[in-house]
Order: sequence, then structure tokens, then C-alpha cells
Amino acid sequence: MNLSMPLAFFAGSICIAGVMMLARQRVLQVLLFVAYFSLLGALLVHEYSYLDVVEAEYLKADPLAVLFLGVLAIIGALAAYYGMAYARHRGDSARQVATHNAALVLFLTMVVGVYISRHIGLVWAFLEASTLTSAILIYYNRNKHSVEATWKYVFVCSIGIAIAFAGILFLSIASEAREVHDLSFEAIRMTAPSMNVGWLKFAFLFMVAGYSVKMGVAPLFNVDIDAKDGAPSHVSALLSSVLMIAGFVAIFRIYMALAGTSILPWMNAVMIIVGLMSVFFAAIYISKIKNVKRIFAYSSLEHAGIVLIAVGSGAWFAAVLHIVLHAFAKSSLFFQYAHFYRLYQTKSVNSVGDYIKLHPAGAGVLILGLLAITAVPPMGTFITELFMFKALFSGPHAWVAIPVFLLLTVILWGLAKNVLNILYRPAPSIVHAPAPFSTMETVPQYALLLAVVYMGFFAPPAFVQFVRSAVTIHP
Amino acid sequence: MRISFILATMISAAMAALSIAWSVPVLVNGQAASFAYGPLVFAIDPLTAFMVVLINIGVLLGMVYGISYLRPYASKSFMEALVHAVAMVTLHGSMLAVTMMRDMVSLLIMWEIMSMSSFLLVLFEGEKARTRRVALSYFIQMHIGAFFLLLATMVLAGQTGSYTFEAMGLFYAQKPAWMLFLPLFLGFGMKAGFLPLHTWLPHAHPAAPSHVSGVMSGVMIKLGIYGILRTILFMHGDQSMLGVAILSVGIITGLYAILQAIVRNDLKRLLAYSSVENIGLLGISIGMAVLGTSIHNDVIATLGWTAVLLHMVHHMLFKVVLFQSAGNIYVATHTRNLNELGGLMRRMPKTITVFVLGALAICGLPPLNGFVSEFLMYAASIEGMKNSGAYFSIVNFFVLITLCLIGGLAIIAFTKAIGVGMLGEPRTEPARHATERSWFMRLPQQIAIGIMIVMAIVPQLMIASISAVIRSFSPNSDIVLASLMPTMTSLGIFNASLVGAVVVVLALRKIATRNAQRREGPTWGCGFTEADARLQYTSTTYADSTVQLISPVVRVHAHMHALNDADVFPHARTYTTDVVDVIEESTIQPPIAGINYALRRLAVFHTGSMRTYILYAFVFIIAIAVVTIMGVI
Amino acid sequence: MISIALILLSSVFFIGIVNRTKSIASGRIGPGLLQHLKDIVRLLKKGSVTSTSSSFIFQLAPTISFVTVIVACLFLPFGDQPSILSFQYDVVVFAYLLALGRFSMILMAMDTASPFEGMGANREALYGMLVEPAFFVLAGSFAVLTGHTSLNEIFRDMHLGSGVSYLMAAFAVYVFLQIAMVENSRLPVDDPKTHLELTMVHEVIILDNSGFDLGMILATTSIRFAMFGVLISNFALPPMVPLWGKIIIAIVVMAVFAVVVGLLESFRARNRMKRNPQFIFTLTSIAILVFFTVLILTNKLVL
Repeated sequence: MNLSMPLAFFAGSICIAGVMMLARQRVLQVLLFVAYFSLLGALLVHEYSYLDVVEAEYLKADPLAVLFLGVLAIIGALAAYYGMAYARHRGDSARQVATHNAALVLFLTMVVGVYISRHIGLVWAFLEASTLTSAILIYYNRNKHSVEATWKYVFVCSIGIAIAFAGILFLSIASEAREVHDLSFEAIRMTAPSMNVGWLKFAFLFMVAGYSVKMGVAPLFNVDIDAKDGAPSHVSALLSSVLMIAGFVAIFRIYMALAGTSILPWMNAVMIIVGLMSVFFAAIYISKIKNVKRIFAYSSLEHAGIVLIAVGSGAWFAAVLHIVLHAFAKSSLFFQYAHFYRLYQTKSVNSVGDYIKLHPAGAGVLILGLLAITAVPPMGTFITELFMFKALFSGPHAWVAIPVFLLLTVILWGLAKNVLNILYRPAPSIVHAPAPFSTMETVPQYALLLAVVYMGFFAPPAFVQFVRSAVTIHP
Repeated sequence: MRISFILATMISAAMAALSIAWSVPVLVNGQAASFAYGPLVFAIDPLTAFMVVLINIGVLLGMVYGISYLRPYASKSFMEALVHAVAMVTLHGSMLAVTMMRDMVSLLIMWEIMSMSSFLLVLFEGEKARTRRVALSYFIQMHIGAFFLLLATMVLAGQTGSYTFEAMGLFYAQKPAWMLFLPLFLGFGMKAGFLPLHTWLPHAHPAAPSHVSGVMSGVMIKLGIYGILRTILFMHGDQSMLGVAILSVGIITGLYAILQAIVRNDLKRLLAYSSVENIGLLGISIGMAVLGTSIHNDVIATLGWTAVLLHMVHHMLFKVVLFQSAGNIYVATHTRNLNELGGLMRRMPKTITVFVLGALAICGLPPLNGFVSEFLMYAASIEGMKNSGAYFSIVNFFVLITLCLIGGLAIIAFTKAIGVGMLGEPRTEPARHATERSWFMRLPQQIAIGIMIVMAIVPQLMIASISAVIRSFSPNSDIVLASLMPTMTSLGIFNASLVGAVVVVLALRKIATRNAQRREGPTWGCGFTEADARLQYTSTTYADSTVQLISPVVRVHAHMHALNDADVFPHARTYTTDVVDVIEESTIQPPIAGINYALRRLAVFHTGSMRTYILYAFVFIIAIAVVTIMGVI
Repeated sequence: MISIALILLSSVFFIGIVNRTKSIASGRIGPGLLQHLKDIVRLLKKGSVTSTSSSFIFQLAPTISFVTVIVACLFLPFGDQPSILSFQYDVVVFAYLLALGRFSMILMAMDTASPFEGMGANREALYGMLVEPAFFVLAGSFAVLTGHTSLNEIFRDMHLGSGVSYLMAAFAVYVFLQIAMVENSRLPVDDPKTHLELTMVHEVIILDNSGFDLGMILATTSIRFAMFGVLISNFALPPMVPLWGKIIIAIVVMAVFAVVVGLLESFRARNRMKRNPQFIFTLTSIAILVFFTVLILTNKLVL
């Protein structure tokens, strides 16, 4: 029984990151990644066997955390793999690669911290740390574009974090008034029903507004889009999966902590408003823009919105499952985007085409990915969106279903139109040479998409039970 | 390329064999069967068994045809071929599954898979911008259709707490039927192509490759009808208003669509509109059957249901024949424009003969199977006029007029297609050089024609084999069917002897003219000796006299530059016409244009300036605070 | 059995009487009563010229058209004497047989690639489509009136009693008369004696036929005319009269019918082409009048 396992993980990760900076040989980098993900795997196994046990005073892994840890491990490892492939293909300098890899390790570690923290302040601190490390990731390309994206991202994230901090302050005011000095989620859940409703609402509102930048939903969604556009594609994959989940965890934990109070209907309304706004913004831009990466980024915005609508309508299970499925689907698409860019050397939809002839295996990923992010069966996202609509219809905000559906239709149209153009339109400019894509590289992408099918339709009951236990409130 | 499709055909054949083996006993005994796979329960009752047979025949005919139709597409990449083959099998499987599901959620899932796979099939020639646009609009419209089904699911669950079909019966007992039936009808009707939800159909069918359009038009849109039938199965009591409503939609659909078919010059689009017309006929029959059930007139109900079911099979068969023959023509000439065809009867006689037979059947003319189901529709409407009060008498009177108008208009549409497109002299070089297709490419159509002939000669056996299905709609149908059988037998004999009489007279003619001299010469040009192929009646002119009668419903835009006085030596002029679907123009396009405009105008939030981004957070907080204080949320 | 014999018999004289009436009305001596039959026989013996553009449809269509009319005749009863073929709802079969004949003739015309025949084909299709509702409304009305759905039973049980029913029968006879005119391409819709191809309907369709086929087409036309004659005379057969009396009545009625047609064609100009659809619509509306009368007669509609 080793209760300091998480601490060992943090310490080990920082060591690995440090060594990575120094040992720049490719082989060593790979070995260090293997070491890191072994460590992460060990942590996952550990947390799964010590479910809901408080460790190191401030850390606790509930089923939600373990689920997300698993997702993080899978997508993180793939991102590392594709990152290496990306760097090798571009012939980046060993120093640049080493810095990037170290930052990747640190970033993942900080996000792990977000998942397993049981204290509201610690979540906040880990999120801020993840911002700083992600800045290095986004800045990878070191050009005008990426520097703009990076500094805007860091700046607005900091503002967001500051706003969220104000929310924490309000919460502490409310809890101080009840003579409670513990700001762990359990403590808040216990005492919240007796706290001042006004302070609670303000606290929640500020935290949602602040953390929105991390989750990538309205109101602070813009810099997220820019960051996903500016970052290398495997980093964009991380941003719209792992980091989005981190933001979701931050919001969802405080939501669950306050769910026992009388402000639940109000919180639901706020969640639905935020979600609806996100879907709305996504719909506007997806049908207009031509930049493939931004299109994917806006689709992430849409799905984050759907997750919050699901939360607000009470379909918590669907929300959690949806964010996981979306993480798989979207990271698969972003990984595929690397091939897209390597082939066409452009982000724009306007000057590409014939993908299905030039890169058939990748085209398959695009088709399946399109189905996944537009929630068409047999993709699991269909099931989660179905649950969301069901919850919406049976809840007090049934009318929301209509605008949500219309906006989803617009998004479907925009997404499908662009993907079809990429796949089928005769390429207007002569593509240099059909790049030698290894089909092996697309296998993980297919695996991720298959996981979306599997988890939506064929999920084993034990898994469903596990996810359900993640969203039930323990008294 | 074709290997994957042949493989797909084999898988489909296996699937068909399996499902038919399950279904036929159900059809014979009338006993429902079911088997479970995980959480999915596949249940087969007579209606499902009937649909299973229909789907399998249609899809297999289409896939066998596809094997040879795809030969010219060898340049397609491996992935395109794979997507196409997988989508074909998925479409087949999901259509079968749709008919076997017994709750709304599973049905919705299978329904979406069906729409998705057909969308991928339409995309086959995605390198054409038009195909992509059409496929996309099809996908979007199916999505909206699915939303109506979702809405219906929620209405059902909200009232009864259950998603199963049985709950529908409960719902109908508690609430007015239309509350559930309307969203269901909109959802299923979108697939079937009832007006004004038909707008995807005339675009998607021509854009798809011919083996797919045959399956889509012959089989897939029938799933929409299936959905409506399944819903009606749980209704009880007096639903006469609903019956009249369905019937009216059917009348409007049938008349409008056949008028559109008359003015179209694209052969496959003409066929697509004719599919909509037949959906209208099915709607009319469903309406009559519901009416008959509501007024407890077993004769009308039985005739109506028999007509619906038979016509579904019939239309599947001849539509497969027609689309595949059109496919053969397209492969031979690379055009579908009737005004660029002509003279094909002399160049590919076997294909065109099959097309003519299909056209005879779809016009409901004796001695083919289309006549049998139209006969039943007429019978139902005459019974309706005869055996019920003045109100229903007048309703059925309208049905009667509609039926014969549609019949007459269908003759105009198809004589136009054949007369302009296939008879006479070729109008263009590609048509002149058209050659007959291989036997394998004609085989599926000939099989279908064979089945059609059997169905025309022994309609009583066909009706007997689906009597279990009819019984599930109208419990007392057996008595009516028993008295109907002699008539159907006579009709079959009549069909056979009509052919026999023609053969006899032909033989007599042969004998009588054996000594007469026969010469060949040019067509009499009424004194004008320079007549050439361009002087033939065109598709546009053939339709013109009809268009003039119905101008508000069918709008033909003509584009030309008039001569002005300064043109002493005028240049070559062009005169083109194009026809718009008035309903599409008025119901689909304005909202889309509006949405596009709104989206363009609204895209102002991503300014690039950080100050505005941060402002959003504060505006959000303040706005939420304000609405909270005002008590809105 | 009697009806088919009557039809064949009267078809021999029918066109002859019409033409004779016309010639007398215009002050000519004109051809004999059997001239039409002689023409047909002459044509049947002649050789033929077929267009190089045409296919087997061109050869087949006259036969189909001929057979449909003959078979349609088999469905016609004569008063209470049953027809040869009869089953329920055979009114539908009757109409659709004629439609099949029309279908084949249209295709035949289109098959010649003639600049003119398409015009006739198109008109034939249009007028056929327009005239069908009138027939079906009448058939449906009589089905409602008698409670039967086969031609046999309808004419067996159709007993006219009251004044209203005579009025209705008069309307019906008028509509059938006009349907016969349209179906057989006579005035006012079509003029068989016109010489301008642009204004022809039926004549321009058969422009390229010759020899045996043309003879068969002419025979078809006469038989179809006679068939409508028998159909109309059925309305005038009182049930009490013995069979020979009925036959005499029928022959008289048909002779009058032929004379009326001849007189009409002598003193009336054909419609302008554009007016034809309107004219045919009028028939349908009169038929609808019959239908509502029937509703009143059967006490479905109580005024």
C-alpha cells in the first residue's frame, strides 16, 4: 500500500521532463516517453484500485478522474507518438523537439493533477500550470502565427483564471460565513445547502466564466480556436480532448458540489445558456470558414457546448460519455490533419481535393470522423446526443431542443460540405507528389474511431456502471 | 474495384438468404418470431416478413446490376470502392433491421444508419460538384426527417413512458392520434417523399449511380411507407379524419409529381418524380384503407390494404427495371437528357423493350402487374363511392378522378420518355453510336420483368401469400379476400389472354401478309424532303401542351436573347428552358437563403482583438447577473 | 354475344352512314354504304412501306390497338344479355384497354421520327388523359346507382324510373356521345377530313402506316365507334321488350347516332386546338353533374 503514489508520479514526471531537456537523442526521448507513460499507467492502475481514497490530503481519484485518466493516457501517448513523427518528418532540431517533449510531459502531468485534485484551490493551481506548459506546446512552430496564438492564449487564460479565482473567493466568503474553512469539494457539498444563495450563484457564475477558457466554451472561446489553429496538430488534439476535459472537470466538480443546493435549476439554466451560446457560435463559423483546422476547432466548441447542455438538462452520464467520445473522435481527426497538411501544404479547403484518391486510408478516417462528430450512427456520439435530447425534452427547457437541433443541422451542413470537398473535389492545384504515407500511421486513428463506436453501442455493462457511478452524488 | 462490390453482393446474398429463411414461415403461418442479439431484439411479424422479401429482391437485383454497371469506374481508388461496397451492404442490412425493430430508439438508430449509408452511396460520383451538393442536401433533409422521428419518440415516451411500438396503441387510446402521427408522418414521409417533403428525391436519384437509384427508389423510399404502415397498425377507433388527411396528401403528391415528371427532360429525374407519384398513389390507398377501417367497411379496408401492399412490391419491381434500363442507356450514351437521345430502339432493342414493358407497368396498363394494383385502387374507390355516406362518397369520387388523371398523365410522361428518348432517329452522335449492353447487364431487369409477368398472371396467388399481412391490418379481411379471389383470378386470366390474343392476331397478320410486298423507305415528310433528326418532336415540345394547361403548378423558365432591329446578320442564338419545382422553390430555398444570410451577418464575434474576447466574459457575467436578478432564470 | 355481333355488324355500316349523311347534307351523291368496308379490304390485301427509322413497335402497335378494342367489346353486355367476359370492377378494365390501345398508337407515331406525328401523338395523349375522368365518373355514378361494379350487372339492373333519372340518363348519353367523338377523333375535337397535318390528331398519327396495318387501324376505328354505339344504345333498352325488339331498338339508335354524327360534322366547324382541353373538361363537369344526381337518387345526399 503506497499512498504517496500520486506524489511519486508528480516527482517522477518532473524528473523525466528534466532529463528529456538534457538527453536529446531520439532513442532516449522515446525511452523517456515509454518511462513516463509506464508511470502514468501505474498511476492509473493504482487509482483504480484505490478508488475514492484520499491521498496526500488533497488528492483523491473518483471514478470520473480514473475514467479521464484513462482517456488522457491513451490520447497522450498517441500525441507523443504523432509528435515524434511530426518532428522527424519536418526535421526539427533536437533541442526544439526535446523542449517540446518535456513540455508535453509536464502538461500532461498538470492535467492529471486537475483530474485527481479534491480541493478547489488545487484544481485552480493545476489549471494555471497547465496553461503555462501548454503555451510552450502551442509555440512549437516559432513563427508569427504561433507566437500570436500563444501570447493571446496565455493572456486570456490568465484573465480567465483570475475571474475563476474571484469565484473561489466568493465561495470562500460564503463558506467562511458558515464557519467552514475547508474548500475541498466534499466539504462544499456538505455545507453548501446552508450557504448564502447569492454568493453561491456569483461564485458559480465567475467560475464558469473563468474556466470557460480552459474548456473552450463561450464566453471565452476565441483564444482556444486560435490556439488550436496555431498549434501543431497533435497539440490541437490534446487541447480539444485532454484540456477540454480538464476545463470540464473544473466546472463539473463545482457544479456537482453545489448540486445539492436550491440553486440547481439556476445552474442548469446557466449551463444550457453557455452550451447554447457555444453551439451558436460554432454554427456561425463552421458554415463560413475555410480553414480545416479551425473548422475542427469550432466543432470542438460545438461539442463542448453539447456537453454543457447535457449537464444542464440533467443527462450527466451522457455529458461525461460524450466528452470522452468526442475526445477520441476529435483527436483522431486532428492526428489525421497532420497528413492532410503534409499532402497539401495548406490549411484551406479551397485549394484541396481528391483526398480519397491521394490518401485513401486517411480519407477513411475523415469519413468516419465526420460521422463521429456529426453524431451519426453507428457512432457512439449519436447515443449521447440522443440522451441529451431526451433529457432536454423531459426537462423544463424542452424548447431549447429546437434551436439546438437547428444549429446542429447547420453545423452538420458546414462540416459535411467541407469534408466532402476535401474528399471528392478534383484537386485544383497539382499536388507535388502523393506523399508516402504509411498506412500504419492511420491505424491508431481508426482504433480511436472504433472506440467511439464500441463505447457508444457495445459498451460492457461494467463500464457503463463505472461511468454512472462517476456522476452520482455520494452523500 | 469490382472485387469489393462482388464480395459485398455475396454478403448481401447471404444476408438475404438468412432473412428470407426467417421471414417466409412467418408469412405463411402468420405467427411472429423474434431473436435477440445483445440488447437488440429482431422481431419478425407478417408486415416485417413482407418488407424483408421486398427489400431483399430489390437490393439483390440492384447489386447484381451494380457488378456490371461499375465496370467503367475502374479508375476509382480502393477507398472509394470500399466505401461504396460497405455502404451498399450497410444499407441492405439497416433496411432489414429497420423493419425488425420494435421500439422507437432502435428504429431511429437503424434509420440513421440507413440514411447515412445511402448518403455515401449517392456520393459515388463525388468528383462532380453537383453530386456533392445533392448528396449533402439529401443528408441534411434526412437529418431533419430523423429529428421529426426523434420528436415523435419523445412525445410517445412523454405520454406513455415507453419507447416500444406497443406504447403507440396506448398513446392512441389516450390522446388524439394526430399528436403522435403528425411527427411520425413528417419523419417517415420525408423518406417516402410525400409533398412537400419530396424535394431531396428528384435530385438524389439522378445523382446516384443507377444501381443505387434503383434501390433507393424501389426499396428505400418504401421504408418510409413501412414506417407509416407500422404506425397505423396500432391505431384503433374512428380515424377517418386522419384517413382523409393522408388521402389528400397522397392526391396532391401524386398529381403534382406526375406533372413534374412530364416536364422533365432528364430521364432519371423523370423517373424520380414518377417515384414520388407512386408514393402519392400509395398514400391515396393508405388513406382509403384507413377510411374503410374507420367506417367499419371491410371491403374498402381490405381492398385498400391489398392495393398498398401489392403496389409496394410492384413499384419496386418496375422502378428497378426502369432505373436500370436508364442506367444501361446512360452507359451506352453518357447522357440522360431525352433531347440528346433517340433512335435507341434500333440500336439496343433488348434494353429498350424492357424499358417499354416497365413503362407499361408503371402506367398501370394491362397486361402487366401495375394494372393489378391500380385495378385494386380503382376498386377500393368505387366501393367507397358505393357503400358509404355522401361525404365519403364525394371523397372517393375525388380519388377516382385523381386516379384516372394520374393514369393519363403517367401515359403522357412515359410515352414522352420512350417516344422522344428511345424511338425515332438519334438526335446526337453519342446516341447514334449507342450499342446494346451485355447480357449480364440486362439480366436483373429481365428477372424483374419475369417476376412482374408472374404477378400479373396469378395475382390471386400473390394476394393469398400476403393475406397474413392484410389480416394484421384488417382482421376480417379473409371473408372479403375470399370473395375477391375469383375476380383476381379472372383478372390474371384476362391479362394472359390479352397477350394471347395479340399473339394470335399477329400470327394472322403474318399469314395474311405473307404474299404482300414489303418495302422500306424514309418517313413521309409531308412533302418536305429534307427532314432530319432535328425536326423530330422534342421532349420539351411534347410536354408543352400539358404545361400550358397547368402553368401555375409547373413553371418553365425560357432563356433567350431576342433579335433586335440592329442585327442585320444575326449570330447563332440559343434558346434554353429550365423547369423549377415550384414547391422546392417556395418552401426549401427561401429558408436556406435566409439562414445563409443570417449566418454571414452574424459572423462578427471572432474579431481578433483580445479586448473584445475578454469583454465577452464580463458581458456574459453581467448579463447572467441581470437576468438572474430579474428572475428570468 | 349479341353485343359483339351487333358491334361487328354495325361497324360495317357505321362510317358509311356517317359519310352518306355528310354527302347528302352537302348535296353530293357520295360513296356507298359499304365503301369504307371495301377500302379496308383493299388495304388489307395491299403491300406496305415501313419507315427506315421505325422499329418493331411500329409493326406491333396496330395489332395491339386492334386487339384492345376487340377485347373491350367482349366486356359489353346488351341489355340483360350478358357479355362474354365479365368480372367485378371490369369498368376499369374496359377503360384501361382503350388506354393501352392509345399508348401503343402514340409510341407507333413517335417511332417514325416524323416531324408531324409527334404532334398528333402528343395531342392524342393529352385528350385521352382529359377524357378519361368523364368516363370514370359516369362509370362510378352508375356503380353507385345500381350497387354493382361490372358492366354486365350495371346495365342489367339499371332501371330508369323517375323524371330525374331520365334527365340523368340524357346527360350520360350526351357525355358518352362526346366521349365517343373524342375517342374516335371526330368533330369537334378532330376532323378526319382535314388536309393540314398541323391540325390533325388521329390522321397524323397514322400518316406512315400502309397496307395491312392501315386497314387494321381503319377497322379498329369503325369497331370502336360501333362499340360506343352499342354502349349508348344500352341506355335506351327498356327491360320489358323481348330480345328481337331490343335488337331493333339498338339498330335504330345506332343509325340515329350515325346520322347525328354525320349532321354534326356537316354543320359544325372543328374547335381551335387550344379550345379542345376546355371542351373536354366540360364533359367531365357534366359527368360530375350526373354523379351528384345519382347521390340524390340514392338518398346519399339529402337536399
